[in-house]
Amino acid sequence: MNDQDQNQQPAQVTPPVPEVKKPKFNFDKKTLKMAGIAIAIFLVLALILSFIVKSIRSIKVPSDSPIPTPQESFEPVPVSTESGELNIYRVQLRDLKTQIDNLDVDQSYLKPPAINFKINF
Amino acid sequence: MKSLVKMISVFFLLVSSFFFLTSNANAQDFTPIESGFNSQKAYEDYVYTRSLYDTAYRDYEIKKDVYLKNPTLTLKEEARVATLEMLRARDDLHRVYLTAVRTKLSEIKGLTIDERGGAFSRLDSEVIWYTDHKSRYIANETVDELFRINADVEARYKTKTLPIIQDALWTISYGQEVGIRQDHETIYKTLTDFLNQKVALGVLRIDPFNRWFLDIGATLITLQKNESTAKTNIQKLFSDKNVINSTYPKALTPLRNSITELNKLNRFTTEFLTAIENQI
Repeated sequence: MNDQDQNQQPAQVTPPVPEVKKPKFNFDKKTLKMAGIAIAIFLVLALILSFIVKSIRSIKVPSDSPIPTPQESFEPVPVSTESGELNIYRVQLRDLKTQIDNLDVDQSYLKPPAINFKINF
Repeated sequence: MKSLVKMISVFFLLVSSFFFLTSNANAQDFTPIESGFNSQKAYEDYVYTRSLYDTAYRDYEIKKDVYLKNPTLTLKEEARVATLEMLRARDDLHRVYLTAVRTKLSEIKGLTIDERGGAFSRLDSEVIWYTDHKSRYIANETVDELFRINADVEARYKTKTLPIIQDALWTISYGQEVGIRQDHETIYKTLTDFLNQKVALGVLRIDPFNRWFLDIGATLITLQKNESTAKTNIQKLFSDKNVINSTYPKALTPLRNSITELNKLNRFTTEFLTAIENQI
């Protein structure tokens, strides 16, 4: 009887594995050629563009470059730009005036914290 | 054919995004590297640590008062734990405060390597001391032992830490004033060279600048004298323990007087510049 029961049990059926269909591309030679040319043109353009961008950046002076010392800037000053060159010092003097106004010899904001050392009970 | 168009557009998108990303990566090379820790950040750390200490101190006071009103063992234990936390927070506060002062000092430009280095080494020794001292507060220490360890801090703070802090704060102010004076001197020297060039070429006249030089020079000398006096005064902070309380304010007085002189120097130099511009 047991043998029969065992035989009657349904056999374990493995679910069918769906076949993965690989996409098939049927291109004719002409289309492939066109696509190839388009990609090549794009790559060349992109390369040229990236070189142009790089060269522009290499010329650009970084914003945090130090201000040239006055001695260096004065030697080759052409007459027409003298007033403009001197204006740099006016700006610097204005900045220095702000620094003087903000001077706090007591360094009030950095004063040591008030602490009670008498800890007892 | 449609799938081919799709593939090409996807490819184009991939390639263009690659170039976009690489160009952005290159752009980052030109951005200045964030220095990260500066005096502003150090000060914020100090303010935060001070708030932690204030909270711990309030908690200590509350628990202490509760225990004193009702001295049970449980309340004593609660007061002990609050005391321990407060004392640890206080050592942290000292350490972070000293670091904030040190960071500010590192950004002051009118100091020599020796001036900066001396203040740095003194501050560093205190930072190490408070870091070590904090580790002496062990969690299961008795209240009396906590009080005993705490007594070291008061002695240390009054005899060593405070003079070092005062010296560092003085050095910051001194450096700021020296830096401003030196910047004025650089501009003044440049304008003088420019003027001399133009006088030699016959474009400008030396009069009245030759008299102005005397006034500007006198202001510079006064400033240098004040710096020198202040420097002599602050040195007593470590050499003469009898005048330790009066040394710091005394050393600040010449620096305070210099603010008037710096304003005068700025006015004179601006006037000098304006006069040159008007004559060109």
